[in-house]
Amino acid sequence: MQSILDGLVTGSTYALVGLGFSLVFGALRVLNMAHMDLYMWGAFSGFVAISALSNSVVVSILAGLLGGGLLGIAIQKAFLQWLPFDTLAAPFIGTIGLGIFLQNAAVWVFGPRQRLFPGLVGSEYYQVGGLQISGVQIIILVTMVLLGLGLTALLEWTWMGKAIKATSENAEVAGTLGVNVPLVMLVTVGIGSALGGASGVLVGMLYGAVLPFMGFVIAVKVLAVIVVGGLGNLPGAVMAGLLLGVVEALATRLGLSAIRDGVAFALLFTFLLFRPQGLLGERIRAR
Amino acid sequence: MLGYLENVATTAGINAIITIGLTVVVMSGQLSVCNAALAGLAAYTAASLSIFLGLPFLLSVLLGAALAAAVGAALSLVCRNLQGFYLAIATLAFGAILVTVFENLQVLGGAMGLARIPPRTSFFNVYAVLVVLLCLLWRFERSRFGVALYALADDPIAASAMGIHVVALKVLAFALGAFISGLGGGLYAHYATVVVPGDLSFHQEINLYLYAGVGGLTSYWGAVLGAFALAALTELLRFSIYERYLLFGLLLALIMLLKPEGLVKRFPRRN
Repeated sequence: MQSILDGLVTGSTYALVGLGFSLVFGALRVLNMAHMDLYMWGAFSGFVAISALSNSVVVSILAGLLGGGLLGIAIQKAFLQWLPFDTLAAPFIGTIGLGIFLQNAAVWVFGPRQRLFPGLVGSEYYQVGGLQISGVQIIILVTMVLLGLGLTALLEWTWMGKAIKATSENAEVAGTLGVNVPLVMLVTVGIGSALGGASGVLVGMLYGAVLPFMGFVIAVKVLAVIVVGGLGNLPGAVMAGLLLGVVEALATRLGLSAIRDGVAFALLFTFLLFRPQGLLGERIRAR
Repeated sequence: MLGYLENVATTAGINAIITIGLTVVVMSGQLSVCNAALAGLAAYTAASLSIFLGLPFLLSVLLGAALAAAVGAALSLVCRNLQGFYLAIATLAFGAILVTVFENLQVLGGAMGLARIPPRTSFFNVYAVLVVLLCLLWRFERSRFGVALYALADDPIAASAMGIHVVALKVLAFALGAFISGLGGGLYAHYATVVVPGDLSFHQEINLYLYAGVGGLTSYWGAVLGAFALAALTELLRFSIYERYLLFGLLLALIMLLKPEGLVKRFPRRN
């Protein structure tokens, strides 16, 4: 049970990055391989906010949201929207290039080594029904739930949310129905990147460190999450993220930590072969 | 100085060979993100054959490449229903699984890798392989297979209507690309004298895409140009690996934005 709880916490961070990634994929129909580096820049935004402003959990998470979101908007404006979307390889590889650039820009600013993320809450554990949970883990779960609910509310109840869903369903039709598609795409990329940034801060808190290559570390895992969830399927991405976290934690618990990473990839490969539409089974035209 | 240039040129040649393998796969419309992993598989195989069985250099390199080709063909066949991003992610996952496998194979050194591989690769045999390869590809491009491959890349549906067996051709292209990358991998093993699981990682795939992307994704001349251009840039920008990659990343992003086919467009092929 303890490993399942720990897995859910790690899984929440995967879910949050995957959620943002999936949202961006829905809008742009491109795998934004630089998304994981927005997550890293979000983590550093939180780190900077703590050093410069105050030792507050809320401030650092807001800084992560803001840092990731603004950078996302900037790269959409300056780069993503100009990519030749009629080819398959160019956007994929272009965003890989952008990711390399963002990573090494972070090295340039913050140095190549990891930076210690100050502990914002005590490191003691609380007992809840026989399980141990730390302050940071509670913060992660609460933030995850809040952001998830916030996103759901936005998508379900606001005009912009409906426009986002319409655009990801079919941008052309949405455009003819009076949706300002470029604006909606910009907002979507901003929101998705903000979620990634917030997740970066949470991971920084969880492991007590941030580093320029932290995005690289989770890149393949996040791909696993969004494929297992179904490309562009948001609830699926959340479920897949949590699932991956739990499976990894259980693999570690069973003494299989050496092949822990392999588990994620094996899961990914199996899903691609047998259930490419993902966990929740939305049919996908791209197949 | 001469020795230094020879080292740089040998490395660039090996990278060019591995990247050519990637472009052959991409040429068939399959976005493979596991050519570095397949090259690594061939490197491990060739190295083991040299170390444990004492097979001659050329034979072990060829057998390593053959294994990579077989695995590549099997992968392509298993993934025949996956297209576009789905295939890219599947191959990426496959490469990552290979890394985990080699990290846990204690016989082959586990995470420490396989060391003390006999140093047999030289400037001359790398360039001999490269030249032979380019000549063969030049012929291949003008053969029935080559023309079919280009037709497939342009429009799979039209190609299939013209009587091209799409799955068979894709599997063939994947196997051929894996074989070529595998040759590069075997040469690399006997040049570096060490192979580690990290040689198969996503990071190396990105390096291949850097070479191929700059030079031209669907052209083997582009692969050669890209590998040499980046080798030269690497040497010119020796001061810092991070600033170098800052520039490389920007370069790759800009080329995909402005000239998505890379610097060398596909060679005009009809006579």
